[in-house]
Amino acid sequence: MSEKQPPKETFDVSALYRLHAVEQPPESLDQRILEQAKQHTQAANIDELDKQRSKRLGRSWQWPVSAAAVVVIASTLTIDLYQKDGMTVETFPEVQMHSPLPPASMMKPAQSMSDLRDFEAEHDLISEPEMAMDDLSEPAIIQNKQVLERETLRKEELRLERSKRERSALSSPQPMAAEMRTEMKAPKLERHRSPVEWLTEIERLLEEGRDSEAREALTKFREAHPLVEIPESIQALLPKVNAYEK
Amino acid sequence: MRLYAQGDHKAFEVLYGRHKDSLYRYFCRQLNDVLVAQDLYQELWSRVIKSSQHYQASAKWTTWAYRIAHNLIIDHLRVLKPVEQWDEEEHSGIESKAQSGLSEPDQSNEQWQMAEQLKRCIGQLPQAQQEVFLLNEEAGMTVKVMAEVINISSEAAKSRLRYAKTQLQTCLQRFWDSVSAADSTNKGDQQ
Repeated sequence: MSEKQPPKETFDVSALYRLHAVEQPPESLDQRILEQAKQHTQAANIDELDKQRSKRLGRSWQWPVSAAAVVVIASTLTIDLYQKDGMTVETFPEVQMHSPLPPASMMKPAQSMSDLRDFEAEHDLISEPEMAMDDLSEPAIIQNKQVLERETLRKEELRLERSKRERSALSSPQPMAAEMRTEMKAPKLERHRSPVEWLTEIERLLEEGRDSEAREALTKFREAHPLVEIPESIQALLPKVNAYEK
Repeated sequence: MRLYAQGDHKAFEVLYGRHKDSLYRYFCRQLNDVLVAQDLYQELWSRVIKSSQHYQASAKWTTWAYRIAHNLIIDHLRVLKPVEQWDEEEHSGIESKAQSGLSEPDQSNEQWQMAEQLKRCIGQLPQAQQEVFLLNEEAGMTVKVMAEVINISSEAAKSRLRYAKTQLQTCLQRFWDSVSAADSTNKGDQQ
């Protein structure tokens, strides 16, 4: 037998394995993997930064957007509330205009419709374009006069048309739905009607002998225009209105 | 790994330096094709990098990484050959192949020759036995951990390891016998 024969089954496999376990990944492969890891880290960091930035941006927008939403909701609610109470935005200036008490001279009863018109003109109740005549040249004054005449004519036409429409609505029988529609529209129409038109309507009702309707219209007129003086021709109804109100 | 997931690149370099050689050899010894081994090795680290954000330290990092490596090798081998053939080879011996790697031993470096022969013997082991042997030697895994990585029972892992070691002993013994016989013949001729 050979002198270097080792005893059977005594090879140290682990030691022999470690002796030859020297393979290593090439340098280039190491670099590739490390580079990939680095890029991944950077990309992850960028993603994280983006997330944080978007979060911050979202947070910075929260307050202004909330505030804007609150303002919009509040204004919508306010407008809605005024409309429900029968106070349109258009009526505000009128109410403000009449809120301070008028001088004593204004409190005396008006003698006729012409007085009332004078009163309205005096207190600018009829909205007509203001012209500084003195500042204008002669052709300009003529032109403005023409414009005023045209405007007055247009208003008169509108008034006549409206009263005609109301008369026909009252005289002709209408189906139930149309009646209801008219009733629903009525308060809105009254709100837009000028005091002169309204009082003319009441006078007309009195002339036609429709006292109860005239009284009702006068009541509504009083509610809408508490400070406007009522002509003598209509004032006869006043005590009854007060009694009716009571 | 947690540090790397938090963006510490240096932590990855440390981790890579610690495990790169053993993982590389795990691939090289099982695949016998350096290029394929390098591809799969790189793929393994790519997966590790991509999974770093979702990594949860429920098991040891080595267990997790070697499981990925195991799956990569299994996938590769399944593409190369049908599963049935692979299963048959798993239980076949290596006696018939033991002599194929014989080379003339160098008297001055017997250990080195034996180590070379061991390498060849490992290459001739069935893949399943190769794997448990490499996991045991390279990663220093216990039978239980190996079973977890390969997803087999502990008994099966233990049996595979024992069989692999016996096969390697036999292979080395045969090599040693043949070398000794050749050596005595040479000495006789010289006398």
